Amino acid sequence: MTDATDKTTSKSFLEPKLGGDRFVEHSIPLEVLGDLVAVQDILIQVANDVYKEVNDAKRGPRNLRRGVSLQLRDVGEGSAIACLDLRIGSDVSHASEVRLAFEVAKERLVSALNAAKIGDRASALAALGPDILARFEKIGSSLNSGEFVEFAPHAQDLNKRARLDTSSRSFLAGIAKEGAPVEQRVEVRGVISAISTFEPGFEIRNFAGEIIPCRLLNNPEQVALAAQATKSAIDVDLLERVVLTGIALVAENGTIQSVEQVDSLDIVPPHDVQTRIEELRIATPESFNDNGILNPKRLDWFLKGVLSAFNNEESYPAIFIGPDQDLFLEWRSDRFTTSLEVDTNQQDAEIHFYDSESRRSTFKDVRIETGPEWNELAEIINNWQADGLFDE
Amino acid sequence: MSDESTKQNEHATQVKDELHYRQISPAWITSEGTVSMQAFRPTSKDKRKLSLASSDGLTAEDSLINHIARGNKSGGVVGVSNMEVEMAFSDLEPRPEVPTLCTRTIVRDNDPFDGHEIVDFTELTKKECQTVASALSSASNDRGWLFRPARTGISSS
Repeated sequence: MTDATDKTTSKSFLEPKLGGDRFVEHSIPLEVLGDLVAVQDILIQVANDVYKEVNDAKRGPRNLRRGVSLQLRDVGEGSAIACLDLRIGSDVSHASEVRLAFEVAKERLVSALNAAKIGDRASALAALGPDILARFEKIGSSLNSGEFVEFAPHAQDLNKRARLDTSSRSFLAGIAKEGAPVEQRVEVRGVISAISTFEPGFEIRNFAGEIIPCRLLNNPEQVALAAQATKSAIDVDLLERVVLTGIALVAENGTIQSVEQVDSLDIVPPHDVQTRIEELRIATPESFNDNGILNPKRLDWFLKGVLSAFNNEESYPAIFIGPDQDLFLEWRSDRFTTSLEVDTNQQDAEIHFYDSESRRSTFKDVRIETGPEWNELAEIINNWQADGLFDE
Repeated sequence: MSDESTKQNEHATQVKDELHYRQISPAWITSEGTVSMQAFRPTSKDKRKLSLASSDGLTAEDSLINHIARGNKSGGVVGVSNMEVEMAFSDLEPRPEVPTLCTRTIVRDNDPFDGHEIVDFTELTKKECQTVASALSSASNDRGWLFRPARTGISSS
């Protein structure tokens, strides 16, 4: 028995068109041929599955993997068109059924790529399944930006040309990786809840109560810093808050699963404003909704004002949100207490000064719409906290 | 009712100068571990009455346990004395329309539990409330925590 190929027909089994600067001379770089080999592997895998489906068989055809291949017969014009014939070896059983299975496999490949073009995840998944889609992480990696391969170049509809490019690769591989964590740069605020004793690392508990393992492969200094941050918990029953930046594995829902690389780890001051805002965001999420007292627009105004006016650790306010959605700032020294009730809508505030020695209260209304007004407020409060004097 | 029995009734409802427990919501504790003056401002939900608990025969820790057992949250227990409450109110500017303004004290009402006490903030203006709350928070912060539960989540893995 002789091998059966498409040579008898003028049209090849597959005629992918390669577009881009590198293909204008109707030539194909060898590295791109590697991608076509990977496509061949996909077609063999899918054809094997199709054969079993169609013939209700538990096993695929004998010698399918070794006996079937795509052969480059010619490189045609039109950028470059790779004319690929399907060769089915004589030792492959059920050749006609196999040929049919490969036709179906080709259709599924085309369907998946066309689905990627229009962002149809379900159709792409139905055509090739997650295992095959995962291979698009590598298939097409030889293509430069702007280059593509069209597996159905003769289709009238541009969206039906089964284009493999950076975009479709990313889309198809992304479906396969759905639910799998991805690496992402993160900033985590919380407290060190544990130091690992068996490998360099520690755990951070963020303000939502989630425990995030942080691995430090070769950074003993950061382990020491983490230990210092937990020491206060043992000594004075008060956890120091830390802010960490690094590379983390982040699940699709945004949950940080683990920090794999720590770039910085710092203990934050007790009343660090950004850290407190993160705490409040967890404790009173309604305050940060569109209708809340610290909705995105108001929060932006508040942070700009408070961070520019109170810009050293000693002057950071304690920030509270009351049960009636009131925003309070508070400063305390041995003798003087200052509280500020902020109206984030009107952008004004009432200051209350209290002297515990004279047991005297004084009140003052202030505008805090602009930066200079915030600075004026800071000056009033700093003077009061320092010596109990303010300009009435 | 005779003067004598009136006096006895007053004695029955007004408490002696012992320490009175105030449970502090975690929301009102600063990251430095001090108590905000907001913790001493009753809200409209509290019917403008500040809740305290008698320390008569009860440790601060027991008081916190009872509080949590009733389904409430607490980040710790501080204390105020009746004298501190009386002083805080006596510092307010008298207003004839509120004759009791400057003479308020801790009152034991035993409602909703035995030993429950209140400080009545009704008829106080917002500024008067803030003044009293500041005085009470200063006094309790000066005294420090009577009991604070250990922070959880610290372990060696």
